[in-house]
Amino acid sequence: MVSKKVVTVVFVIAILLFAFSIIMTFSNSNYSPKNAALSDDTVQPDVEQAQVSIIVNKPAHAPASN
Amino acid sequence: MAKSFNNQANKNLTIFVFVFFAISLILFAYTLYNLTVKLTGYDVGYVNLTISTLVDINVTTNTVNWGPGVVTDPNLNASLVTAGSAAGTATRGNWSGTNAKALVVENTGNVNCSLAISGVKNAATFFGGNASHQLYQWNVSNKETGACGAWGETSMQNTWANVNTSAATVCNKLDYHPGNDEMYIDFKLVVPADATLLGALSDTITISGNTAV
Repeated sequence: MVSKKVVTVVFVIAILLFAFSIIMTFSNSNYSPKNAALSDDTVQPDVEQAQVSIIVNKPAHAPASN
Repeated sequence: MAKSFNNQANKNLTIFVFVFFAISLILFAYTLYNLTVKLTGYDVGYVNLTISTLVDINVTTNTVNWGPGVVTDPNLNASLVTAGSAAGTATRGNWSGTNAKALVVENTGNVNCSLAISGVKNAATFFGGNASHQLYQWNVSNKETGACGAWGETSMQNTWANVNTSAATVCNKLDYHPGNDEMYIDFKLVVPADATLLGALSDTITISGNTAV
């Protein structure tokens, strides 16, 4: 038969192990994906300009308009 | 009888204590394993990530320059047409197409973007003269295959259409990946022989890149 003293010691050890496990589990569970921040900035439009150019000289004999 | 009851109670208590001990031991082992993995394998941290979305377009060929020329007699007009990266061609006129190539618009940003284009003039305000012998048109096409993934205003998509003076979103989704991000804007000018506006003529084309639609 197991003595009362042994049972008490085992019980105390079990309590300590249990308490340690619970404390360590909760102390390391503070990371959450919600803490990761993802931000986006406002998109600014980009405006560019280009040129279409021509030099039109008068024909020597300009035709009559229709 | 009482002694037997006490014995049974002690036995139950002993079993409970040992079961509790076993559970605690398993929990402890699991916690210890987790701690070890975290200590040796990874750490807990916070990542703040900012992705800068950049809409940026570049008009790599930004001038269509026909230089001087005249409508050759006895024609009523001359037709000047750009054709992508090749030199432009002039018929019934003596303009040189060497510097007359399509405008090239490239998406140099890091996201797909939309493309809106507009001019300031139409044929009448560009040349004057006989309305039936003048044109000022553009034609938008992909320089690189699949550059525009979703067309918007299609009236000038691979076909000639009069230049708009109000902005037309010709492409809703211009790709940003190199090799797939360039478009042409070609121009056709039909110059009337009786143009009332002579000398150096030009128009400004405004090209706007914005968020893809």
